[in-house]
Amino acid sequence: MSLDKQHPVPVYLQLKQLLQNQIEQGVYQPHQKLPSERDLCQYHNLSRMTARRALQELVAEGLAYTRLGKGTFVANKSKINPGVSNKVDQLVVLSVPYIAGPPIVTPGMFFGRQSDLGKVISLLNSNFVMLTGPRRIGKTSLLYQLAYHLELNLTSKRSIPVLISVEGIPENEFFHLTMEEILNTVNKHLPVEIISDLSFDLSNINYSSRDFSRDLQIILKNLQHTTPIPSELILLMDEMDTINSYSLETQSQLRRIFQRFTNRNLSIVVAGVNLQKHWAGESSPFYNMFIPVKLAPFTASEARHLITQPVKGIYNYDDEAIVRILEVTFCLPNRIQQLCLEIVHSLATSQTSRKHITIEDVDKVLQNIQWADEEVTHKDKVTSFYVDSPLSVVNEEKSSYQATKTGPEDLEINQ
Amino acid sequence: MNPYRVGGWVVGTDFYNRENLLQDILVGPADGLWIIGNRRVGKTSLLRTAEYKTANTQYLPLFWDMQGDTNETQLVESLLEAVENAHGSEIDKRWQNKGLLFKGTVSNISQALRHLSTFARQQNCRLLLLCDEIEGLNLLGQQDPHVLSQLRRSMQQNPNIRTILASTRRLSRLYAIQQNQDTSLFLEGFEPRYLTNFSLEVAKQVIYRTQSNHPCEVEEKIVSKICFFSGNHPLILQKVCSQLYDHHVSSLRYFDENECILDDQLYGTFQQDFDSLTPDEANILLHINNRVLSLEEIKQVFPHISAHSLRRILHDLTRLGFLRRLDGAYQAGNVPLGQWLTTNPTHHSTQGGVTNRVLREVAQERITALQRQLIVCYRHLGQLELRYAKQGLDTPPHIMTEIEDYKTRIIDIETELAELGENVTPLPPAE
Repeated sequence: MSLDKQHPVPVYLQLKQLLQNQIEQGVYQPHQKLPSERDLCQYHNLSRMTARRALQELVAEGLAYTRLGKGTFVANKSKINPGVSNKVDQLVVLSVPYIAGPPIVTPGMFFGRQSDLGKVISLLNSNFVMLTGPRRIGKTSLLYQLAYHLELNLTSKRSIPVLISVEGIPENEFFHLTMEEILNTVNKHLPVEIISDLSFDLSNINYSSRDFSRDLQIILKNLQHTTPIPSELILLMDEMDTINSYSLETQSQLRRIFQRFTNRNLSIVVAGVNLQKHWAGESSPFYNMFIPVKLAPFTASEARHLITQPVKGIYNYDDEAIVRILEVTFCLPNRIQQLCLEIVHSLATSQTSRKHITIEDVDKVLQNIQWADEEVTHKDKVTSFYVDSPLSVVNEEKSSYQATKTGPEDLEINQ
Repeated sequence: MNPYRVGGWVVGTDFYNRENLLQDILVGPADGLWIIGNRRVGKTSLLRTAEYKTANTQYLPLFWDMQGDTNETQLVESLLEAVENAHGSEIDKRWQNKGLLFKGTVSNISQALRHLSTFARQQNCRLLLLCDEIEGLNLLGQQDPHVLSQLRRSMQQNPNIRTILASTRRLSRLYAIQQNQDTSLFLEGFEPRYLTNFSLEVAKQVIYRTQSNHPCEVEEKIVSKICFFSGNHPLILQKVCSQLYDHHVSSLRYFDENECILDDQLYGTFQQDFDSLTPDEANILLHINNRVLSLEEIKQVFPHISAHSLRRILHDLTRLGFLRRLDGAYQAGNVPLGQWLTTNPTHHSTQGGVTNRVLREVAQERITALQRQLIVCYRHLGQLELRYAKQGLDTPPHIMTEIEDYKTRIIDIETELAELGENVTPLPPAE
């Protein structure tokens, strides 16, 4: 099966289906490593984001799993314990109710951050937005959800979101690769003759910022005339810290281009951990045109939602167990997902048919857990990033819980 | 959707006031202006508005974004890009004929500007160069003074080109950079104008969005609080409004000052602005910090600064929005700036290399420009009053309005001259 870029089915879904077929046909065996993003890009002549998204879809569906720094592997079906009591449990384990590691691609698996999502969408009215937060706080997931929601949002104009991961893009290829990503998405919205008029050429590695600016102008101009309604391009640029290593000249060129298209049918959201704050240049710094939106750990109610909703109707948590989870994860979404995944997995693969998760279940898993986000293992590192410590949220939740424990039976805290 | 605009430049109904500056740009007597303003105060919006207002008139506007340009190749490249942008944006249709331009290679900036000037003349108009983010010229002046000299000549000596520069005051370093060079000073031919915070009246218009089809209804006490909090600083004002906007009721909610914390954008902006201060200015600002101090109290702490210099420093700091006057005393220009100054004040340092000496040059240029403006204002006022004297009650209403406008402007100019320590008596008209 070859990939057809003109086909209405998005290329990433075609690639995901191709890999899925190969897994089902045994081309790739359980535990075998799947081709890397880079290999897929080169082999199929795709952008890195397309390859990444296809692999993430496989993970989201439980057909593959990722190992940090190692790659993506075929899921091991034999790992499912034959003693698991029923098909529902098997399904839970198979479909991976919690997603620890990769970004949340599927909207149905996205819990919490609704207010952040709403805030960014609201601000996108000709403002440029910068998402900041420590690693693994959910910036990439939010970008995916933004793309999903914006695509659905058909009002007076159609939004065309383009997800671009800037990670690892060398400075001299930045404008070329970024335009490649844009064209991968917008080409189906524009007439072929417009695309062929652009300066962009896959093989032209000398593609300059001026070429980029000129092409972007042509694209935006023509998107204004799409039918039945005009379109707006929304660039969602992840891992923008990469540009910190670029020269001031390139950063200034990029700012100049972004500035130029303010007030046009272009919106931009960039995401990064620490977009450069100290500027050595004479003219305006790159970052000061963006409205910063800082992603904090979840609120207690968001965290509770994330713990309970993915397994709703299958498992339920004791309140003590929930408070313990909040306490040890500092309400960091990635940690919650990792811990809950281990808990559910532990319960589903045990010989018990119990559907009730207790504090003992949590503590048992905690004995062996190794957090994936090693850089925030120490609580001070978590709290130092924020003005309001997530610990205060946890403590609030804890005391609220203590209060309800002595009171009547209402165990829903801060909902 | 949130109607308040925080990051990018604005034009049309999102652009509020700045009428005096626009008048200077569009019809003022000076063919070279230097708009000085802090970061995020609206310089780009002003130039963009001038571009829109002059499109298809006797001017051919060209918005030239020079950010990051520090050598001739980059200057030529960004100028060519500006022409392409003008062509693509279709703001002024005459750029559609740009095919006539730049046949063959453009080797230097003088040649490029000469081509543009000729092109404008062919269209029976003058070229209006709107140059933004020009601080890179500091480096150009150090590394390649010859090119800076060519640029000055092209901009100032070609009668078919009118040039408006916009930058922070960091550009004033050019005075020092060119001090020992055997060339004319680049900035000498450009009259300085300050782009300040909004007046209270305009700030309120922005909050209410009076120019929009969907104005906001906001309680008066909230408006007052926002104005005081932001010091009518365009970025902070819009930022606070954006945070307080409740789309369910299309209005602004009440707020607690503590919730509007310093964010990275403001932090960066304050630091960048602070970098453009001289050491004396920085020390005065840090001393005032989050307090309200009288002139006498400030004088006592800085006895080495003469009364004349201190008055001029306080004038500049106030004009740039670092300070504001409160019952004759001085305090930080807005609440977040006061908070920022309180935060680790020892970490604040000035990196921009702006000195008292170069600011004296700027002040002198400013005084000369103000005196020229004063002459023009008095002359026009005299003519209008003569007309009023002749026509009496039959004088058209717009003449009366103009008389009032000139009187207000004269008071503003004389006040500024007095703050700069200058005799307010205007110079005799030039022959």
